[in-house]
Amino acid sequence: MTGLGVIAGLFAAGFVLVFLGPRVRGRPWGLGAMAASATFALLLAAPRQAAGRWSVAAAGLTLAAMVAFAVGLARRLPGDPPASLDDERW
Amino acid sequence: MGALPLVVFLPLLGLVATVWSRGRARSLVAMATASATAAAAVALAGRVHGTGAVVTARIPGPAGVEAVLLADGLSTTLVLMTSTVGLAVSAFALREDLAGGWQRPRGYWPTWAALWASLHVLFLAGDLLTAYLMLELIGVTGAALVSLGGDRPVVLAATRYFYAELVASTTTLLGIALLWQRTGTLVFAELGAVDAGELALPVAIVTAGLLLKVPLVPLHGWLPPAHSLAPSAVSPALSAVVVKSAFAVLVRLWFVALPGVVTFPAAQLLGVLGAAAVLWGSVNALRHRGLKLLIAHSTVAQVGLLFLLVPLVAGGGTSAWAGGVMLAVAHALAKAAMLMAGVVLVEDLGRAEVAGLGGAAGRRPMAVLAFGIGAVSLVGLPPSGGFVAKWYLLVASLEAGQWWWIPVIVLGSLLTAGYLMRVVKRAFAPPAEDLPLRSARDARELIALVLASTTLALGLRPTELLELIDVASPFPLMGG
Repeated sequence: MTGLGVIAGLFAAGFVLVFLGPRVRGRPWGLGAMAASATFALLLAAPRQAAGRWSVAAAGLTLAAMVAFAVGLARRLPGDPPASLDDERW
Repeated sequence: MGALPLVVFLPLLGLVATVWSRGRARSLVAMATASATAAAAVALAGRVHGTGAVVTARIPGPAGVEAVLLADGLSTTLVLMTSTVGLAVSAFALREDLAGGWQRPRGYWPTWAALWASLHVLFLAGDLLTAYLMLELIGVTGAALVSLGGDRPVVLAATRYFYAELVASTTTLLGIALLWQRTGTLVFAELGAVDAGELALPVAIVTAGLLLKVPLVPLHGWLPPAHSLAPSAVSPALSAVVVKSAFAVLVRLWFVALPGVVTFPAAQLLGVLGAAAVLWGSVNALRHRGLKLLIAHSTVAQVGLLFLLVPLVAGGGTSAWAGGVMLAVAHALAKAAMLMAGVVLVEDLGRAEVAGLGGAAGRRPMAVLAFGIGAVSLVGLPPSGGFVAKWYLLVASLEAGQWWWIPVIVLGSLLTAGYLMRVVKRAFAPPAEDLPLRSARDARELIALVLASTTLALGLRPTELLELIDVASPFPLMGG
């Protein structure tokens, strides 16, 4: 039950940070919290065997890479975002 | 090596080869592996269709981890769709490279190959964890392709797209973890052994994540900017194929792995969201002046139409399975062709708004014809794949006794005709400026036209594809 509480709390905190975060640049923290929560949930659920651990490691590493990519993208966006994205590139 | 491992191995070979090659060689190597991948997909489809049996392959990993690839009617059809669009996108990009002197960002070809391989593994995945990992890779490679060499608005659009992907991924993974905890397995074929009542919450969480990934209204906000700001050799792949990836996982989970978990209210809810997407996307497509934004909002609407499969199949309208899969294929072919034709028109006329397309029919008849054929299929007029798909959705509405989806399909078709005919009508209007009546041929027009013509071929001879969809289908159209 404690584990589930931590998972739910971390996930909710991350969710709030992502959607109510002040800027695009601050949101990777929220995403990181959500990713950590989901990986922890997977860790609790996976069978206690090598195959289970490899599966959790694969999912966790992929998520970590995704969060790192999100941080990289955010670094390319200094300042405030523009008001509208109603634009096109061909 | 059989065709099934090859459809995964060949794009991976393309990934490695394009990382190590330079300039002209990179584009040519990419095109060669794209052609070989498409040939392998056709061979796989031929085998599955010919034998009428599921083809499987096992990919061994570390510590006894094993990924099972499963080529049934659904997955093989989607692989064939991906390869057809993928080959056209590669040819389109190669033609741009030839004309532009190989100035494309160096990451394009390897990233595109990685996206293609991930899509194939996702459609063929025999377990939910592999499917999840592929959804992650599709998110990363898709957002990377959007952002490649882009300016600030492009990077912002890619960032929003990627944030949405990440929120969706973490939500999906949370649901998968809960599902694993309760079932002890994530293999699709084994999930059904557990009492469906215990799985409602995990499946609901996984579904929420997948709906954001697709995306379905009201979670679609990130799609139009990402698709309209993506480079010309990226948006056809995103709009045609990538939007089907999470949908494929959803229908496999709901109807193949866990049919017992599908309830009438849940299926109706997805149908209502789909109907809302049809209306909202169409109204926005009518409202926007830019051609690419119009097409992007049209994708929101067409994805909504795809979701009508869920309540119809759940309600006993089994024809909706074949109709929905056919709709996914017809939409992919038409939408990719329309985006390619749009690139040629906009570059030629120098205007990105629909209002600036005057004289396009005279200057670029092949591109306008490709756009028009794509429009015929999206509207659902005969003879096209879109017509066949909508026909079976309408039949399924009657089979299921759910007449309320019929006005949605009809109204969606009328609205589609409304916003697409705006473009076609304008293309036949006189040019706004003193432009020459004709311009030099562009091979990209021909690529768009060939791709668009495949939707007509599907309409004129749909039997083979319908038979392929029927292989190991949970809802066979032709009696199993």
